[in-house]
Amino acid sequence: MKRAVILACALALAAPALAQTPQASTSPAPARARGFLTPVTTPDAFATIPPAPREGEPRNDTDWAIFRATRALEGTDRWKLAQNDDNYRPAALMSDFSCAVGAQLTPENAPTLASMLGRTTVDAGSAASRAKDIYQRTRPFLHNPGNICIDRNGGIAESYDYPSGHSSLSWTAGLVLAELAPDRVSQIMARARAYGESRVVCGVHNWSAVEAGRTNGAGVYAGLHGSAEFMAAMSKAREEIDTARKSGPKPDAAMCAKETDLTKPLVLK
Amino acid sequence: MRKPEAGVYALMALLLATACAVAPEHKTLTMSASDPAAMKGESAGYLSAAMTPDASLIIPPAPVEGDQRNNADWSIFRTTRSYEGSDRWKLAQNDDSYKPEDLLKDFSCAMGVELTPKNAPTAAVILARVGTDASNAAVGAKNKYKRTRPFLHNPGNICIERSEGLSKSFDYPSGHASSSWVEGLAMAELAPDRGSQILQRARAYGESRIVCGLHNWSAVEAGRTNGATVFAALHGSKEFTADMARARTEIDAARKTGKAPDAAMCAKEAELTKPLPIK
Repeated sequence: MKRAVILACALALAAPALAQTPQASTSPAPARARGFLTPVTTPDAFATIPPAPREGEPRNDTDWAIFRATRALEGTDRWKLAQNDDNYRPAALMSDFSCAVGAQLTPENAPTLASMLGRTTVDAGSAASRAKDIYQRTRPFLHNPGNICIDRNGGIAESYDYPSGHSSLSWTAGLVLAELAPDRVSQIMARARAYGESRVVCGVHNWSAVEAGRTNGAGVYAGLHGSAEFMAAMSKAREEIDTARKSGPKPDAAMCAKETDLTKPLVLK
Repeated sequence: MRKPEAGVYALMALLLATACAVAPEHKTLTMSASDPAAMKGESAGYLSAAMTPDASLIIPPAPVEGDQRNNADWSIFRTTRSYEGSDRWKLAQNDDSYKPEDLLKDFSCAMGVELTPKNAPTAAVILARVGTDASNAAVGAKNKYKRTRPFLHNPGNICIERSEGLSKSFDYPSGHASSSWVEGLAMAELAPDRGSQILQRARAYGESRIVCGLHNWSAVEAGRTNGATVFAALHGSKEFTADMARARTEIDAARKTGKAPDAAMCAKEAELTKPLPIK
């Protein structure tokens, strides 16, 4: 049962990226990582997040108004960042957080971290799955006109909106990285928030689903500290990051300045 | 750095010994706790200024009048006025206190054992100190957005006494939601097999601010976002991780040998802390 759930979750998480993104289709299939958490230590998002909005409710009006307003971002640099952020493979996440951490992170210079991010992503997905299935909230582009930043026929229309898996996994990843580089917490968590907001910009998730993803992701992050395996991996990952920060290559300053600007809190009307 | 607590809290804790089961007349006793400007008390946080995340860089911007998010916030304020006098309203009154012994009591059902400053003294210290860190992390955003509270713009009662301090303090992000979320995350780290129950209670604690009418929905969401970043940053403090190790020993011992909280009260609390239905 547990294995089945985790496997289903890993597949569900992997499928959209494989099907929809240019980055994913040219990369090797992701390893079917297992998480660190057991069913008992996985916080159930159905208990921890607010209920999904329903049609006619003010939160739903907000969600759809934000979807429609953010269609104006199509083609902009923020839209391109949202396309980039569709890929949640460990190597992509490490690249995405490199500016925020202040060191170029790769699976080569931080292999333990890479393996961890694959596994925490599975945990974030497992924690979200029951809430997704109970609320069965559908995606905003199915109810409103406008383009989304990825292929809408890649399977995304059939999966549920609330809470956002990408927002969950990126918030968990951000918290893990912030623990490893606590002097960079504001930069790292700004990038993690922007990563979740990329789902709103892209049009594949409602605003509320991205908020709920952060709530879910935080619960997962707390739960991870009960895993001896996670804690041991954190020690190794800390050494990797410390070394990369001391002696590794720095990310391109101009690119990072641009990213800082793009990842400022999304202005919503 | 939190405001010195008045002795009224001990009295309130007594009055609320059965949490939401009774409806004590304690409105006047709780008001000072609700002034977030006053959420700077006697406990120093664990984080230095340099290690404190800045919510103004992290959380979404506060809604402004005319935004759809603002419409939703105010609409939720108005519809939740119907909770007045209900058990959920009484829970919101209870949750106005963030005194460590009250928080320990609030998390007791979720933890499955009665927690007190006697059997979990280090946990009590953690709850006080991380609350200060959460509040410090929120300050920049509160002052940047200067968002005012929903009861100043909409008709309806709030669950505690109105005061000038309350009216003049800012809404976004919620200090109570920030601190209760980081406190819940810390408790969940100490008892990961109870993570769902603990974080359900922590989420409800933040939602109590909406029920009470003191905070907008968006401010409570932003409080959770702020609280999580504070929790991650705390792991960079040796003092915090050392306290967590001690608190874990205390809580493990309490869970083995301590008194179980009243089952009927806990069943009621579990029901009251389910995700708030919002129309």
